[in-house]
Amino acid sequence: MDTLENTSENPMSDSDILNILLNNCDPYTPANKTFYVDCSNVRGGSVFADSLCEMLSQNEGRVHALFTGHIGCGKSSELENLKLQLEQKTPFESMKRFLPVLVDMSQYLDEYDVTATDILLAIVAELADALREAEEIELQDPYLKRRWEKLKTFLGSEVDATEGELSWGWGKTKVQRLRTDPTAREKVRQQLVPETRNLLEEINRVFVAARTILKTHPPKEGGERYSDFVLILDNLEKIQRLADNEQGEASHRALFIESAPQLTGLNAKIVFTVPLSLVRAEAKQLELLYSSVPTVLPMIKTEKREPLHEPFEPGIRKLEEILLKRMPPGVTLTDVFEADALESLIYFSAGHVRSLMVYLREAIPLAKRKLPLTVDIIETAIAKEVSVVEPSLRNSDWLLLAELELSPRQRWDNHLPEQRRLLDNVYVLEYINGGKDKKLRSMAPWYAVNPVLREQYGFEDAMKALQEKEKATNQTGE
Amino acid sequence: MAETTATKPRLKDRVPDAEVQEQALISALTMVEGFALYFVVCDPARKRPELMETVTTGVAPKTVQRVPVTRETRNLLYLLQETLTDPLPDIIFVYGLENWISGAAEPRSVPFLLNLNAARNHFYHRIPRPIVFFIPVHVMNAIINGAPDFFSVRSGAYTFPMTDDERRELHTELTARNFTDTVGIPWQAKEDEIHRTENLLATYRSLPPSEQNPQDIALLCDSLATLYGTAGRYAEAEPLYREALAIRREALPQGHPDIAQSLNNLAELYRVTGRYGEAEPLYREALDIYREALGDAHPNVATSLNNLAALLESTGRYGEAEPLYREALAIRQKALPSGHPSIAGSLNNLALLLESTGRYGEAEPLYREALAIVREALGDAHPHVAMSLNNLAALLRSTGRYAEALPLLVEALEIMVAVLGANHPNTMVVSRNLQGLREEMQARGESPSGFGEAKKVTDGILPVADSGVAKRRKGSG
Repeated sequence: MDTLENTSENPMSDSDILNILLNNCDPYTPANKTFYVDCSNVRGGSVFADSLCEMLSQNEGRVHALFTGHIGCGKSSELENLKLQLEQKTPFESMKRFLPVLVDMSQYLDEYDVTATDILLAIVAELADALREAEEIELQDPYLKRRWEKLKTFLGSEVDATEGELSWGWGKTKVQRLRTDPTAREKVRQQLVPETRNLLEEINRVFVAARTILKTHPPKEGGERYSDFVLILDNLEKIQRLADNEQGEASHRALFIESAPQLTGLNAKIVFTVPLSLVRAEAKQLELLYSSVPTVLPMIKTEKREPLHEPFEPGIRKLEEILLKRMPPGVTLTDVFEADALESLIYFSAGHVRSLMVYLREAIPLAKRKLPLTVDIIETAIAKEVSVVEPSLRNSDWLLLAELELSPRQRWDNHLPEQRRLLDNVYVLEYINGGKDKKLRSMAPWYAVNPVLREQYGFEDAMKALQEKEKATNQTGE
Repeated sequence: MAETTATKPRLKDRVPDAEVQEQALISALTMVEGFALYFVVCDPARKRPELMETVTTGVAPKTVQRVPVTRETRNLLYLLQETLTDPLPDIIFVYGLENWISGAAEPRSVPFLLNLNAARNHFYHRIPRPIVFFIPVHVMNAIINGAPDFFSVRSGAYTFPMTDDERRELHTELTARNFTDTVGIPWQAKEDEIHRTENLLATYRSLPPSEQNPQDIALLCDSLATLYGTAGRYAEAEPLYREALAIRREALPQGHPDIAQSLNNLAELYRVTGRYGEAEPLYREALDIYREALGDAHPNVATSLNNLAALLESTGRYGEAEPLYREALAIRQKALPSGHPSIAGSLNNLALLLESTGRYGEAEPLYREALAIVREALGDAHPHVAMSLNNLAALLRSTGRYAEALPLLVEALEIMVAVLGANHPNTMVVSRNLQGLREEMQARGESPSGFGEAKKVTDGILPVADSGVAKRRKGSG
């Protein structure tokens, strides 16, 4: 345009930068290769991908790993990254190469009316699809073919419409269609449920076939041959209700604990995402059933528990790194933020990456097309966000939060629906300290009140009320 | 940064005003590409279309499609897929969610919200456009608590709270409503009324505490509970009646008639759900309060007596019930203008009691008088007339006077079909009675116009016989 400023070194106008930045900070999409930042050293030393790769390399047979974490703490981003690592063997030299099959389970399943059979079906469909797309391998299994013939008579003419593109019937399109058509799904279930054992055997046979082909087949893109495939089942934890069960915790139990024999009957290397609350409640049981310790992806720590709310510098630096990756090429953090604006943004995000993205995405439209973003803009954006959330908090919620603030060593009990809700809504954040020394590393979670809520009147009132109550009991005690 | 400095304003004092929010929303929608969720909280309702208009103008030349959410929608994704134009608009506005998400429901059991939470990944693939929800505050709260996954991927949340004037306006609207006559409204209208009242209560509860008057909450709880009760949703009614009672006991002087009304409502709920033991002391307390506060001759005392008598009758204590019914009838005959339908209700109830104890001769004239009153007061084609006809016919049938009973039942059925429709449960009761009578007459070898011997028949008595009139429990209180 005709302004003089734009002729300087940076060809992008403030408005362009803001525009790109807003679209780079999407709280919905998991970090891709460009945006991904390795956060393991500030996530309580979590080395999920590394240790999993180690486990996979050492193990010829089945591996059933469990993975969990807060809503929006970066699980899907970590799984995307795991996918890369498996393919590229980045963690260590001697590692075997794996074909990752990342299944977004929410693409397949009505997340509130699901059976274990549906999950098995989705897995096979996705594996077949991944093999076809990545390696042009068509699975030809006589057993499954026969079963398909049988199913076809149940599904009727509806199937024929889509069948043309599916060489042997277990194609993606077909199974995805089941998600939206309850009658078709019911028919498939009736066909399959009494024979889950057989189905498992058949699926395992498919797995063996797939594995054999992979091991003998030179990869399409070249490089070392794949030693096996790894199924990564993302968003499995979002299933709300298993058929014939109460929604929520009961369904989670029914799926991950009661159906564990089916799930672990799959003879393959699989990463399951499980709900955080179930892991907190049933860690031992899950470990027994799946022969693996559930991995919890903690939040990035931005402040310490002791002394309370003291900044934790390495975590803050890591969040800066995450933000830097989202900047347009050639643009630095100081171009975009005033120093205290950046500090404030990170402080209020509390290490919850999705919140960081939401707050920045909220701040940009307030900037009136001018850089840098000031602390006033950042905090106005966050204040605006909080004013929407605040009415959903009840008096009893504020009291729970104040209690936690006054005794930060308190356990946060996921069995209690009220406490679980506060954790689900990220009003309460869960951290893990970890540490360099393996022996001293504490994997016990601790909890903190979201800093945006600590500034609200409701919180202050609840704090005052609790402190006065405490004073009163102390006096009567004397 | 752990401590904010004294000079710097704190977060809670930084909430921007409506104009800034409006500009930010327009600016965000202008910049954003692909799928994104925006929540715009805006009260009162009439401001939402205005705001949608302003934003639509502001984002031009981007195109906007507005999608209303109708009551039938369980799944927003399907609704959008059906409604959206091809090619897709640049931006989608969704409004009317308050028709679907009641303020009273537990968010985690609302299918609409569960679907929202579950389907959040599908929106991204199928509708790669920003979606803006224009909603009242209680819907926002329900989404935050019922669909946390969906809410957590938002790109922005905006709030346009009520001004002081708007708040006062809402307050007046809430308190000026007349909730007392909700028993007689048709079923569908009742569902709508329940929904509206749930939302009113939720909106009222989300006002700042200083704006809330406990008496208004009690009124709203009471009205909603009564609506639930008439729809048979007793479990939902109970906590609301209890809340109203607790508020009134707390706020009003002992012996205030409103407390009696609350007691009476709760007791009625217990009675119809068979919890007789819990109902009785409440009825008695209500009766005492009314007698003390309004005097023995007040119609509310009659209502109380009537309800207590109905309870005693249900537990077989006919001897105790009868004098209460008689006292209620006497009060109504004295206090109300002659020919008032409540008098017919009392006559009817007393007649039913007498019939239950086999005193047919005493019951018959009472039924006839009740029938005459309702015919006169309500016209020939009213369900209460049909009910009176049915009750009288049942008595006649019990005493073997089939030929007299037959035309009464035929007339009753005609009225029911015309007024309530052929499928209404009360219509079906009358229809069954008529059928039964005809079969009985044929079994005795009589043509439907002949005479026959008496045979005791009990199942033909309408269960609604005492409900329409006698159970007008809120009376005039």
